[in-house]
Amino acid sequence: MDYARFVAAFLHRLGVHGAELEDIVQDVFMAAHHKGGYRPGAASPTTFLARLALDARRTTRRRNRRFWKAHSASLASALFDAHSPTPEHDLALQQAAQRCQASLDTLDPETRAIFLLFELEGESCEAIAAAFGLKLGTVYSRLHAARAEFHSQVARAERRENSLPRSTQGKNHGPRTHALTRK
Amino acid sequence: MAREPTRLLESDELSASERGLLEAALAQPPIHFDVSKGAARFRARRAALSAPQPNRSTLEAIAKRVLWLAPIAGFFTGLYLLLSPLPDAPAHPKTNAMQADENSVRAAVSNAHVETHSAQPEKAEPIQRPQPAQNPRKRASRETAAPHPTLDGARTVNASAKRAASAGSRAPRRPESTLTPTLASPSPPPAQPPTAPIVQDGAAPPAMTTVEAIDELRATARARGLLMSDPRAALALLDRITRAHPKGYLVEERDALRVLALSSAGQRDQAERLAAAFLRAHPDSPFADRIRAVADR
Repeated sequence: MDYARFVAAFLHRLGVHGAELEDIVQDVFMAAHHKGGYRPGAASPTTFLARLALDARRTTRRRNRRFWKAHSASLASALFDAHSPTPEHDLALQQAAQRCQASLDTLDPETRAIFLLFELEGESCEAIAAAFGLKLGTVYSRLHAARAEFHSQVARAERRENSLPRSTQGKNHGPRTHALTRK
Repeated sequence: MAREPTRLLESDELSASERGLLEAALAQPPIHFDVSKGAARFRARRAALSAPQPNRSTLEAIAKRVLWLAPIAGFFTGLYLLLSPLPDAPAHPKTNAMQADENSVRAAVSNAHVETHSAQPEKAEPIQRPQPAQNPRKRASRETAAPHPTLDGARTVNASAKRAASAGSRAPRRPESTLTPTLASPSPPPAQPPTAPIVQDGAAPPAMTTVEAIDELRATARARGLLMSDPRAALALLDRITRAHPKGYLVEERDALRVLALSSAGQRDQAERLAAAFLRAHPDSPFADRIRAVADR
C-alpha cells in the first residue's frame, strides 16, 4: 500500500493543504522513523500513521511553522481547494465531498479522525483504539458523537437550503458553485 | 455501542443526501501529492540525521579528561580569585534600570523618534507604541524633519529619553513597528461600503505583525466555515475583517468569499455584480472559475 498517499489523503481530509501538507507528511514519516517504524500489533499500519499524522498536524498548527512561507498558495488551496479546474461532473462530486467535510468541521480533530478512519478508511475500532491509545469504549462513544454531529449538520444544511425562497434560488438548477468549507 | 458498529455506508440509517455525501467523500479524486519528491526529501532528511557521529571511544576519552581536569581548574581558579585584588568599582556601574534606559535610548534612536539635544530636548516625542488616534502622515513628516542621531550621539539624548521612559511609555520591542502605518492597530471603518469589492493593484501587502496576520487568517477561515451554514454571518464577519485588515494578505480570498456568501444568501444580483468586478480585477485568480460560475448565471 502507498502509505505516503494514505497519509497525504488523511491529512487532506483533516484540512491540511499545499506546502503545509507536504511538510506534515514528512514529519509523520520522520516520527515513524524515530519510533523505529511500525510494530505489528493491535494497531494497523494505517491507524499507526494516522495517529502520527494527527499529532504532527497539531504540532504544526500550534507552532505555525512554515505557514507564512508560502501563505498565498497554501491559503488559496486551503480556502477553495483550487488546485485545478475540474470538469462539470467532477465539480458536483468535489462539492459534495467538501460538504461532507464541512459537516465534520465542528468536531475536534481526534473525533473527526476517528470518524474518517472508521467510516471512510474502513479501519476497525480496535485498531483505532490501539493507535490512539484509547479504550475501545471511548472510540465507540466518540464515533457515536461524530455520527450524531454528521447527521445534525447535514440536516441543518438541508433545512437552510429548503428555507430559501424559490425566487432567490439559482436561475438554473446546476450545482452550487460556492466554495465549501474545509479546515 | 458494546460491539463493533456497522459502518454508515453499510447500514440503512442514512438518508439519501447523507449517503451521497459519504460516497462523494469516498470517491474524492486523489489530491496532488508528489510521492517521489516527498520520498527524496525524506531520504535526504534522514541522511542528514544519520551523518557520521564522532567516535564513541573518542568522546569517552575527552569526557574523562574533562572530568579529571575540572576540579584542578576549579582549584586554581578559586585560588586566583582569593588572592587577586578586588577590581576597582566602575565609575558608572550599570544597574538594571540604567541598562533598560540605555536599551530604550538605542531603540528610540533607531526609531528616529527622539530629537537631538541641540534641538529642543524638552519637546522630544515620547517613545510609544502606535496608537489609533495618531496620524501616520504627521508621524512621517516628523520623521523626515528630525535628523537621525547616530548611536554615538545616544548619550546626548539620554536625558530626554529618560524623561520619556519615566513618563510611563515604553520602547517598542520591535522598533520597525513604529514606522508602519496604523494598520498595526484597529483602524476606523474604510470610506467605501464594506460589501464593495476591493480592487488590488498587484502590490505586496504592507508589513503586518505575525499576530495580525494570524488573526486575519483565522477570521477569514471562520468566515469560510460559515458559508454553508450561515452566509449572512459570513458576510458580517468578512466586513469586520475588512475593517480590521483593509490591506492584508487575504484580500483576494475575502473578495471571492464575499461573492460566494452573497450567492448563498440569495442576493444574486449583488453577487453577480461583485463577481464581474472580481473577474475584471483578478482574471487569473485561482478562484476565477468558481466566481465565473456565479457571474454567468
